[in-house]
Amino acid sequence: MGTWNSVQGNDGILHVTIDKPEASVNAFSASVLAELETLLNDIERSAGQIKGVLFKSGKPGNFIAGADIKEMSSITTKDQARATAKKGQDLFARLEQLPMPTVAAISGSCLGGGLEFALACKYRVADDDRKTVLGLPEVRLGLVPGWGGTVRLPRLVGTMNGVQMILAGAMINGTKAKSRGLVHDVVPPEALEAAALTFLRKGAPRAKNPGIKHRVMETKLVRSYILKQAEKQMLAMTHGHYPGPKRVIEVLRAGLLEGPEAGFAAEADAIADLSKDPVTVECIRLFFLNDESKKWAEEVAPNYKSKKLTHVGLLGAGTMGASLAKIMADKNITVRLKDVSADALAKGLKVARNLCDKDVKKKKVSKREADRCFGRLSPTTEYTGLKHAELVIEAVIEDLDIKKKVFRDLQIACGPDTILATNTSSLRLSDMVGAIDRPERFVGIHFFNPPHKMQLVEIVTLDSTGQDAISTAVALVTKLGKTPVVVKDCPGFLVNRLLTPYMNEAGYLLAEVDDPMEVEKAALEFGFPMGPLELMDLVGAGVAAKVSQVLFEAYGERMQPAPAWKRLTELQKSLGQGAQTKVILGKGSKKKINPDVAKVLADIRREHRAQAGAAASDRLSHTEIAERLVFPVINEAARALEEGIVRYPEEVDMAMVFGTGFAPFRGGPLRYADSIGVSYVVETLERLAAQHPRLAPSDALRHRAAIGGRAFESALKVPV
Amino acid sequence: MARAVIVGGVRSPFVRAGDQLRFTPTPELGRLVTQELLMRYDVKPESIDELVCGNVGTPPDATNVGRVISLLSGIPKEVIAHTISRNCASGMDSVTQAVEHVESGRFKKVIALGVESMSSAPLLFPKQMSEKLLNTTKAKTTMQRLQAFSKLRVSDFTPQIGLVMGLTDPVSGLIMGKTAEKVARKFGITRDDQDEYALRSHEKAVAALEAGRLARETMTIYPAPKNDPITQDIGPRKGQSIKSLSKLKPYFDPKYGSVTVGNACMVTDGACALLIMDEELAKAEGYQPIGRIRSFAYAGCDPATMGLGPVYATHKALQQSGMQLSDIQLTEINEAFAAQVIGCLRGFESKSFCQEELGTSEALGSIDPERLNVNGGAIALGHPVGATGNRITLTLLHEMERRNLDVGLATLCVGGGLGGAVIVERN
Repeated sequence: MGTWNSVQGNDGILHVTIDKPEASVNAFSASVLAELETLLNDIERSAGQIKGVLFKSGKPGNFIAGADIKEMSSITTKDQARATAKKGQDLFARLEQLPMPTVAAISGSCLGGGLEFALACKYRVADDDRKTVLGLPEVRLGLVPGWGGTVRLPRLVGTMNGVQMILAGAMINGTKAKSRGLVHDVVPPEALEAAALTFLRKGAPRAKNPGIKHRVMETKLVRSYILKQAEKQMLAMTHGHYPGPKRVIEVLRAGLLEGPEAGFAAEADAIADLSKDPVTVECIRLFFLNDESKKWAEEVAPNYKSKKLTHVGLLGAGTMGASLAKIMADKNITVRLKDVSADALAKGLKVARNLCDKDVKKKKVSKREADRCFGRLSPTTEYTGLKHAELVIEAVIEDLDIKKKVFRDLQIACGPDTILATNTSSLRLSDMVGAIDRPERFVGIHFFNPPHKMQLVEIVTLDSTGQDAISTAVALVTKLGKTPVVVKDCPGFLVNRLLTPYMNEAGYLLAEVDDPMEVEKAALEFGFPMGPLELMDLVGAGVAAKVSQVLFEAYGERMQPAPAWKRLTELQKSLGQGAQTKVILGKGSKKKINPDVAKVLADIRREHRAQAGAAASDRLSHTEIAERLVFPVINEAARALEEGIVRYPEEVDMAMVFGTGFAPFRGGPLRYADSIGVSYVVETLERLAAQHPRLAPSDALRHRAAIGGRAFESALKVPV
Repeated sequence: MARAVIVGGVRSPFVRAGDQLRFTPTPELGRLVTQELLMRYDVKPESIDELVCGNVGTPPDATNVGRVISLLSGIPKEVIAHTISRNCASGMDSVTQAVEHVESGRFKKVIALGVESMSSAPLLFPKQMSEKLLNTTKAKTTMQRLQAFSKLRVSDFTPQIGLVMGLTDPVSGLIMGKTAEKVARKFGITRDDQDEYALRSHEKAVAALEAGRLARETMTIYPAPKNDPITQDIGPRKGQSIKSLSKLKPYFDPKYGSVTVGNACMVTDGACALLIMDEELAKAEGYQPIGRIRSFAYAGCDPATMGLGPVYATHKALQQSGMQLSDIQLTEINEAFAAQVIGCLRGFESKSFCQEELGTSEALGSIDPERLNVNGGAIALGHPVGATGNRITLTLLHEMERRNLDVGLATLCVGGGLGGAVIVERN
């Protein structure tokens, strides 16, 4: 048995079931392509007897997920990459030119090469299953679609939609695919094959004449305008760090303005150049790390897949709690949502309702589905309805005594086996565990704010935490489609512990540089999605101050909060609430520093200069600023690794990329350290420490530097 | 024989129709209380055997609304659910049916739900309009179609108010308020009698709310679209005066009548759910039931004086349990109209009425007004028709517990000429 299993029916239709042996998903590897070639040979040879070809998948939830990325990353030369692109293009061209009608019956993920394959069929029919998604996400891996997708997709959905889909790597469901013209019809799963056969037998109804709007939109002039606008937006978002999206624009430009042949050729060129580009390598590595995160979690929580979550208690209906409640309800979990007052609950419910309404607006779900999701939230001011909850998460105010009381109350309100979790970000589990009779059921599940947007979740354990508790936490996080990282309890856990030195150093830098925006620019140039000032707006100065104080108390001098942040926090308090308290005002190119803030920063700068004398007025280059920001993160990460907070350096990279947006194309702080050499980091920190003792390299970092080479690479089998 | 017990219950605040719950349709209203019942009593949804739902105004988009509510509440698809209608006794019927299903040994855990969204009562178009529209679709030529359309009159589009239709008995042709006028005339009940009664209802309800006596049964709801909380019934008016009540014009018979919107119950949205269980199972699962139904009865009477239904039904229920009216320690008579409740009280006391209508030799006896509707009634709290039976049963049992009484009566009149009565006891 191979991947392409064909059976010819009495009606002359060839039914091809795509089912890659011994694989969980269908993906294009060299051998799968070779087999497709054989199949096409056979079909071409007996063309007279075959009235039509139907392609369907033998794997539930998956049509063809794309190219085999593991195999792809083993490609070593440009020519090899180009040849693979050409090979696929040629085969799909032959598929497109078959004399009989062909149809792709799409159920499950139909992505990348899988969609490009379907695009080469004459007809496409998709089902309306939740798992069915179509898209060309190559750009997310730093690549471009290489098998004709950039030529064929815009032809079907129009330049506007096509450019947007490919550039964002967007994935859409069957219903949306139908409305955009990507598939000919969308039907319930059980009707898929019959519908596909109908297209083979009867063809598609005559297409409506494209209206005048369409004809205008598809003139070269408009196309080139759309491309130019898309390029501008893309550059504003990526700051030019990613060659992938740039090449996407180039390839689309070739295909849309110069014709299909130019498009195909540009695709192959782009694949050849990008496949070994360092950015692509890092993107692919992160893709695998994300996959790997579940395996790492499984090592400490072997039975998490068997954990059922249907009823979860959630304490605290603040913005965090409400958003968390909503994403749980999305996944069919009934959430008993408790807060101290009806007004607090009402506020939380409004937040959740808004999120539901947004989903409807974005057509992610129907109104009915959104109502059902909202209906799974069960508000209460009493400790009731928690007896049968599999898990209760507290997201109440960050106050140790209140949290301890909550856990004591919960032990009465919950069943004996209910797992008790804290969503604390600044307190330690070890300080809370005393309030819990059976500490084995106590675990930390730290969602980042806002939970509906943030991909990473820290699962925090104590030595006393039982396997059931860890498994339940991992089960929840994976059920929500998020990435878990299991960490040991320590002040700040992993992400905040590593982020705090970065933010503090940014605070110190604000006193040294002439223009505070220099710090922002340096961070953006390094590859952070936003600068530290903007991040402060997002996190909230109050929360950040709380966390940094806790960490200072725990770790001492190296986490000494920068005076600038303290002053800003005070200023914000005096400004009251609302948009005017933000540090950065405006959006996009209109971003500027709040004048009130600028004034305070100017004061701080003056005081600093007076204190430090002329030495401080040396101009810092953006590179120097970036090193001051990032190297302390590496320094702290080395310590955390040595303490066993996480087990693998790769977990640090993944957590920082998914949790803080740490320059993905650099692969994370430790991957970055390896790429520039750990000894360079140590030397730089030593030099800086002369003036700023807090920056002294740790022993842990020195040990790593002594190893040499890629000191932060574990023996994990991450390809790349 | 198995014995059924009432483990407990919960209800929504009662809200004037067209007010804060006007965007909460029947299924959603039912879901709110059913889900809260499951939570408060820590019931695993899969352990439910059946949900019985009393509802009068069937939502056009949810015909077996009980089933819809069951599924929306997270009760698994395998669990059965149905909807029953006995007009104003629909909710009471859900309770007595649940009890019967448990006592027959068929089921062990049943939810008895009553729900009514009177805000959702539809506007209907007259039959002749749909007939004429149908003709236009049958037309074959353009001329014929034009002709068919030309037959439509503006008056054809005058909507009929579903609520008014629902509150009118088609057999006697009387709207409910007019049946109350009949009762008032029959027993010579004056406007003042009625207004006095209505005032007392408000006073008692306000006192009950202020003392928190209704808090135990009432859940806070956060209805769409604003999700602002409603924590208690909004009907009872503090500072209601006899003067303002007496100023109101008779609503149903402006010339000679005495029934006003002030001495009648308001049109209301609300829902109430009770958990009915097999006694043994309830004990095994550690519940402390609030009581059980000792006997119950429904009785027929003249639709034109349907307000007297409680007398007929109570008589039957007393007979079945071998009790006298004097054995009843606390009573809830639903206050559809003040005239109708006073009519019932007079009926119970009237030898001639009892002889003629019930065939007894003596009057049934009298009900002490101090032991009647002690926390106010529907005139103040509201009467969401399908949910009232559940509500008065629950309110009665809670109050009996508070006063440490053993036997109580909850009874109501039913549009169309019925009465319903349950005699409850605490264990």
